[in-house]
Amino acid sequence: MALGSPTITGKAFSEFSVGRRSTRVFKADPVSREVVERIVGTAIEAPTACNRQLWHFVVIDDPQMKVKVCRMSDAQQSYLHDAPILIAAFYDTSLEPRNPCNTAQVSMGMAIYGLLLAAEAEGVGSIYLGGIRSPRGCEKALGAPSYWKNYGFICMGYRADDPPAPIPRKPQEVISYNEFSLKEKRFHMDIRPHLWSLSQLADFRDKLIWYKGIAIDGKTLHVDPDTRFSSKFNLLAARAGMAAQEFEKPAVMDILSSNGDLLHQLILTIGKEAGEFLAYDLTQGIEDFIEQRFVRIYDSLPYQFLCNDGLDRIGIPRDDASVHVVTCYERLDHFEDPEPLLKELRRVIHPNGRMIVCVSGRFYPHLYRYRRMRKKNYALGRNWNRGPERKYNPSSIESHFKNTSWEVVSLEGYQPITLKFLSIAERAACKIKQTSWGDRLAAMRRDHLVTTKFDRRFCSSLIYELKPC
Amino acid sequence: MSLSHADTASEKVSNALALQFNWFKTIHTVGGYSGPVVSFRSNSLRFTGPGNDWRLEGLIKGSIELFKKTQNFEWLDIIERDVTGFLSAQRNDGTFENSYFEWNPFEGGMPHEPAVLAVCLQANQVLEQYDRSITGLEEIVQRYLDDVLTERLWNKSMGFVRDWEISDFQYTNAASCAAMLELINVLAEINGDRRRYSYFADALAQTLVGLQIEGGYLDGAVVSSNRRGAGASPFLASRCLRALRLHANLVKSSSISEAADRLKTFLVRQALPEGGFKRMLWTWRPHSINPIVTGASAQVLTALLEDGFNDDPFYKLQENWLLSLQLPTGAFRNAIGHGQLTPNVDKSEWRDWIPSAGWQDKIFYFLALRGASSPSNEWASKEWETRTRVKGAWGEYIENPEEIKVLRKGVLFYHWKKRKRMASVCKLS
Repeated sequence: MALGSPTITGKAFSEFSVGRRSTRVFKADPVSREVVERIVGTAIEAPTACNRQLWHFVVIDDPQMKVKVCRMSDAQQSYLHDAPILIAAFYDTSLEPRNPCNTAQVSMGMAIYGLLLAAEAEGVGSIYLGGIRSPRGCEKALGAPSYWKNYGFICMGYRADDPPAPIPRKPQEVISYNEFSLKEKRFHMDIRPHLWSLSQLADFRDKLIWYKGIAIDGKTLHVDPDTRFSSKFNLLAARAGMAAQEFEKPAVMDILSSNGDLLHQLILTIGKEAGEFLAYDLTQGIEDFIEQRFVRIYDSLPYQFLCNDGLDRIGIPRDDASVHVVTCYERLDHFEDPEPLLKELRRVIHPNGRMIVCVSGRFYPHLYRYRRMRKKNYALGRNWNRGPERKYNPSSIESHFKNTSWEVVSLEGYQPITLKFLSIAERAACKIKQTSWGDRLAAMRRDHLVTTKFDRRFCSSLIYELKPC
Repeated sequence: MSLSHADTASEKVSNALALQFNWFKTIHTVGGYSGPVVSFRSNSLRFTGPGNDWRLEGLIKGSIELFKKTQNFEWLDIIERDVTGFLSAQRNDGTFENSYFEWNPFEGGMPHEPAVLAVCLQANQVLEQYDRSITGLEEIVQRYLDDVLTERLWNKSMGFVRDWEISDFQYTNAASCAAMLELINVLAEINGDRRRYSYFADALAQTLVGLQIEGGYLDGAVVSSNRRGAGASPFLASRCLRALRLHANLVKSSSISEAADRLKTFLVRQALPEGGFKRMLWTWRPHSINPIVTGASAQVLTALLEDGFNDDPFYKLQENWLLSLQLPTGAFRNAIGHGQLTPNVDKSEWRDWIPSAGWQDKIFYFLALRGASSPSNEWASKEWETRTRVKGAWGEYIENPEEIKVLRKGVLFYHWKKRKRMASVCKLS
């Protein structure tokens, strides 16, 4: 082939690469080793720093080994278990230990993208998975020497889904000429969501939903903390249900519930026919997302979506005093000043209505959060409810309530710090074979999950019941 | 609190059964049997709406048994009502509303959904004999198997069913595998098509056999899950006994039959001398006896009875123990020994009293196997009040046909007006 005469036109390549999708639902059909070898063979044609080609791919097709690797690397994604082939990507970093441009990673990235394209060309679905908590665990599980670093997995198999196309950013947004200049400030300039503008918050929430991938083919695919099965989540919905039973046909509104989990829980708790359900959020994108989840379950949508009036201010499109119960699950945490939202909620609440609010406690040692922040590997969005967003102490949030004419009916602390001591004592009891004591302490731990005593100030979450005053 | 004026043992059982069924009537509402749930792992105290969990399994099975014994068509009406009620709770995605017992009102409860579906199939066979069969039931079951169990919950790599759709992919629960295995085999028995799900059935049976402990004190036990250090619960393992026996008979496998025999021997060994069964046993730590949940013990007994274990003194002892725990309300004491180091009937905590339909049904089925009664009877549910521990202080537990109350130092800590979807006061975890 002569120099300068490509075998594939720019347009054809562009169409091919634009058409590539990450696959999250795989058929059980195996992918033959010949096909895998062809794909990897194409991938390793990728450019590499100093032409070192120090990559290595471990193809895992043994189910037992897959389970071992998943467990040791603490990978939780469902498609990882369903894909017939897992490829662990390694690069020998011993020759490039302190390269300022991290050429080892760049080389690996180029090869992985080549691998994904090659798989697509072979008609094999694939997805790159970097969201594993412990690459070191993967290295251990596969017996890799210490200087071979794992850079994630590629899941591969024949596609059983047809994922929709994401909305890509425009080239104009990501290109600047001759100097670095950004057209718009984006959310990731600061990872503290309560410092963003309303439009930045809305933009992030839209993207977060797409990232989580729950809506693709109406199936939950990406794993996020399973809030629906947390006792805190259950408690919140039940409290709302108890408040709602005071009304004949209550209008129950969940605000900014994002993926619709709490909304769904409210519908289940109160009963689809027993109330009018409202979901308030910032953008239409979130409505589309929630709708996709609900059409899978219900013949007709059991709720009404209320989209904020524009993105310059908080405005709930609902008449005054027309909502009986409001729930807010850790969403005041996303506002530096929650008062505009609280005022708007005060406007729409019925005079005898109730609002159940859950906020993150400030004085609780969220060790997970600190550990992640210290390591500087905090992935925004992945742990949306346990991140760098605002935490409240009771006096500060209560002053916001007071300023916006809300009266505190009750405050419960969820998961007080004392539970940690009980947990330590329980483990110690089991260790010294005093298992009866261990069982007793475990029961005490369950009993003290929610507290109304002084230690509620040192809880992971504060759950308020409010009424208008 | 036994019913003292009964003459013979079987009369005692029949009277207890009649009284218990009248208690069930006090909690029955549109959509099924309501009430709080108190369980080992978690409680559902605030949400008290009708549940479509395993509470229906014992109730329907018991009703079938009583219909067969008495030929009273009121039982047939109850069977039909409960089965159609359950099926109407199916959602578009195949799962059933309020089917998670201690996590109600969640859907997708395992092993609750497959367990109740298997019973529905058995009930339909009885209804069919009287031209009251439920049309489309087999399709509903197949849809459930196709959409939920084999599509969403099946772990393709390991060949087992998991409990959660979006997490814990590599873990399975023996009771869930057993319930699914039983459902597949009951369906195969009815429609004669064993091939359609044979791949899944064989894999599940192998998983259960793989979870069985060989040698030592726990020989024959099926551990509750494939998690490291998981213990063996006689209650959960009793479901495996039924599933393994049915599968062994269907495929005529001597190895699975032998596994079921060893499991049966293990279950018999776990009976406590005063009555009831141990709660959880481990190979690596001392066993945990408390709390002895009466319903869980009754399920082990029914599994042994169904498996043909014959030892009359053994059953008599257990039966007397159970009957001694019946309250004037008709419900049985929920458990013995919550929050205690040693089981003591005289000491109690609020969780020992609050009756859950999902435990009571198991006692109902056991009693139905031992006695007979009609749904209309004169045994009225009465008020019952007792002193008990509530959150570290003395309090009262009060139940009558209208409500359940728990007071601590005279302050109302829990209040459920029966048949209501939510409790009105709840300060308990």
